[in-house]
Amino acid sequence: MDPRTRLSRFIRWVMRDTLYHGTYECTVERQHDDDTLDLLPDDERLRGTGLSRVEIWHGLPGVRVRVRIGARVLLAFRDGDPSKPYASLWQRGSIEEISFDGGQSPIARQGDAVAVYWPPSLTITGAIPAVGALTGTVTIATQSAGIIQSGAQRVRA
Amino acid sequence: MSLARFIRWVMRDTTYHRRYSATVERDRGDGTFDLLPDDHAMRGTGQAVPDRVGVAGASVRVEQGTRCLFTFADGDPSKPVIVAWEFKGGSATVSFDGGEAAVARKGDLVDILLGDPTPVAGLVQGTVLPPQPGPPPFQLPPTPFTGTATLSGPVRAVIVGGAKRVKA
Repeated sequence: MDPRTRLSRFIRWVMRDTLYHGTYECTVERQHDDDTLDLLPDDERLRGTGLSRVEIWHGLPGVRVRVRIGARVLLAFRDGDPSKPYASLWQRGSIEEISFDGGQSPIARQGDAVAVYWPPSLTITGAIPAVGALTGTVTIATQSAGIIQSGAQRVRA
Repeated sequence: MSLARFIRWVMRDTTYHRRYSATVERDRGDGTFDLLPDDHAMRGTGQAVPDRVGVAGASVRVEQGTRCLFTFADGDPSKPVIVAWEFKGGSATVSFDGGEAAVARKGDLVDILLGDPTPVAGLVQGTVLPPQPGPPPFQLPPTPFTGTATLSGPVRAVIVGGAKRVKA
């Protein structure tokens, strides 16, 4: 081995921890019930048999995601420590479900349905042509349907 | 100085290429946060750290104790930025485009606002039950009606639809 190659290898060895400063493309092989991922890195230096139970850290606090098998994500390491891998930043179309603060209720959107419940009675006062004045009550026994007519201009789902 | 230490000294800027774990000590409310880094060598770099959220247009408020990752823009120790957050229920409030209104979800209540009395016009039909003693009940065919209606209580509604993949 020539001196230049030996020096290069030595410098690489001294700086070997910087391998864990980078970000690496991975494929999701499995997502566990606790949201952690089994990942297969593209980079052969990290691949081995893949990484198991990698935490997801999010670009927004309070967010949880369930993702598709085969989704593409970036892998990095907290504190530059190989024992602290995490996944973050997703390719478009990776998501099965996104939720905020652990919520389970679907977000309502403009155009979504609303069930309307009427009060026990409506008192009506008016007139019927050719019959005359009418006062009475109307009972609407069934629920009605509504549609959400407005919503946030810049938040869509 | 050994060669290894010399190389480390030459490459010392790589210290600021990592992402460091930290705990939020205070949300200043202006988009910056006071952090306590896990790494003792990084203590003192976590004051008024801005966040770079992963969704454009979003802004966040977080509770004390929320965990995050920060790094240094341009590898510059004077430019710390938060780049990721750990999930923890009840830790954060997210808003988009500066919005302050709560987003509605399936199952949430809706109040329908009607005047009292509310002008109504249309067809009336059904069974008429005159006050007793009086004429017997009779069927009223579809008949034009103009007048007002007064509700005996509020009109309430419940959202029954929603996005399949976005929940809160």
